[in-house]
Amino acid sequence: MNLVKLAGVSKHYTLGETSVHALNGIDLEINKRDFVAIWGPSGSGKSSLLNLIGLIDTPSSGSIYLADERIDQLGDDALAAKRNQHIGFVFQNFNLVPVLNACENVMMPLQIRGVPAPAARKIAEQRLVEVGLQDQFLKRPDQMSGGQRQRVAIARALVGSPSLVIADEPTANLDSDTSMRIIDLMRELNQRDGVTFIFSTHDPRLLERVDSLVQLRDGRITERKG
Amino acid sequence: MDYFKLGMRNILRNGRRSLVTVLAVGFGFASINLFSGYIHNVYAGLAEQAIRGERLGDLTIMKKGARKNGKLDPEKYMFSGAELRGVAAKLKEDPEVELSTMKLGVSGLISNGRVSTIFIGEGMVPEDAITLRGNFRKDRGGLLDPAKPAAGLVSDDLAQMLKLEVGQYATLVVSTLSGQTNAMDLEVGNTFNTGNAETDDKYLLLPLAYTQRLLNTDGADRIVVLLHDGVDLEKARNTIAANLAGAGYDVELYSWKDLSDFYNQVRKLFDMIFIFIFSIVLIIVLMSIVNTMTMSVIERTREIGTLRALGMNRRQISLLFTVEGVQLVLLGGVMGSVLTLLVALIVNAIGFSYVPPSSSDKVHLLIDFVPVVMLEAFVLLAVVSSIAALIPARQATKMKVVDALGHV
Repeated sequence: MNLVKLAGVSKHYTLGETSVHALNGIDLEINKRDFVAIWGPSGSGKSSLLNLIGLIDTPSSGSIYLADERIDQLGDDALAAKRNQHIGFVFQNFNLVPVLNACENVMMPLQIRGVPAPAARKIAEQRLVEVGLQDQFLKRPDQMSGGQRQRVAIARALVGSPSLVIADEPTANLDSDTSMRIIDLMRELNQRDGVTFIFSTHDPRLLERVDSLVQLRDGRITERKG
Repeated sequence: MDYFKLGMRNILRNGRRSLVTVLAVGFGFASINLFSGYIHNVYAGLAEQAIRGERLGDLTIMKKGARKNGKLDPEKYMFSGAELRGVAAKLKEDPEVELSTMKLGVSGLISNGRVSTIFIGEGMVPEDAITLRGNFRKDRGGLLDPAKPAAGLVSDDLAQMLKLEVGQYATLVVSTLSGQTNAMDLEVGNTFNTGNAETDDKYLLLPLAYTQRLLNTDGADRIVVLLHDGVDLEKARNTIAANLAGAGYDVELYSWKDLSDFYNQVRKLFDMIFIFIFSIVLIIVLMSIVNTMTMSVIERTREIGTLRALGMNRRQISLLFTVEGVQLVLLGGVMGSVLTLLVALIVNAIGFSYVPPSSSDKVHLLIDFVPVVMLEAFVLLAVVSSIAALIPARQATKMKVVDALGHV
């Protein structure tokens, strides 16, 4: 069953007097429980595609569906609510709030949703245990390693029980071993909880661990496996 | 969402910048408080000077039209002895009245036998003048002696000008109400400082009976009313006016504020200065808040993008930065309050004194601690600062999520 569907999606940017065609006529369907890698060289349109699927950017043309609901025409507040309810994000640079400790960072999506602090804390602690950070609750991001920070980011992405997690180059700032462990963790959570993961990478070694692959070049899908 | 906690941690994270902002707010707030505390003390001092020092009392009762035309036809606007007794009896029934007493204005020439100069004076019942004066500035002198019915008080500069000393005699020459010239000797009972440079070289305080003999009348041109402490002046004025009108007296009532031009002039001047200082402080505070919050928004652009990606809407982002701005003002307010208290205590303890314009005497520089004024000033600062914090906060909300996330 489709969780995400893109039909004829294009994205153009204007840089000064130049028009950049980041994505051209993308047709893509991603099912629930999929573990999908978006692969391609720099500038191929990976981040642009993830931004559109993650509802943090809007297409120049075409339509986007999330769980069969067309969402590319929704207003800003409605998109914010959709992101909070249905989508988790893992960023290349972790993007943790520096003044909050690990637990408070993970609580954030729930608190934005209006969940009271004690309940949010309980769920956040569970998620941190699941990503192997049971003894790091009170550490701030600057007191943690890159791998630990990315685990916090994964816990934060999953804390609101989203149906979809978007990860843009989640291993780009990590060493090889840590990268593998992070991908394995994501894979484990995908299989255990049934959460759909879509992540971008340009590291070919990570592709062995995915069951679905979308290859991009010059803003077009050049290959689709799985 | 605990905006307060998040705001406070971000304030502490940028400790040095936050401190500068808090200091700007704190010093600004303290300067407003100290100046308003100072002028509060000045206003209270001037009120006391007018009511007790210049013996205006709280209210002055005159015959209708006396203030405008009394000098042209004094006899017409004078209370007769019978009228004075009637009004006094009516005022005595009013529980809000502490004292009512008669006053008779007089002016003419005073001579030491060799030279003469002009004088203005007032005749009062000595015992009532003492009551009216209360405990106000006893160091200035100026109390009539009830045991000496022909002795008056001569203002310091006038006594010095005519080289009059206590116990000596001067001659007063005046026109009576009917226009005839009259002269009487006056014993210098004492000298005193009027507190006002404009009157200290020409003022006499005389016993009422003496003044009435001098002007050849048994009346008085005004009745001064002192109210009990805490009585609402305007309410009392209306009540007394209604009672006297009901009893058939065609009079008009003036409060001490109506009659004390000096008080009104000083108040206008200080109020203008206060508005000027407040405006400058407000601009400094606003610029500090806007600058700090704008820096914060620029530095935290990626964080804003992240929070938006996690589901915060524009209103929540705006609230996040507004709360932080308000917290800076609150911290500045606390610092400013403590600073106000400390400086006020130190200044009051040192006891600086100075001679204000138009004064003939030194006064102490004192700062009152006025919580109501402080609260009003703080609320105004906080409200305007919150609005100022909205400017960078709105800037934060206008960013596109994807652009904010890509910000380096």
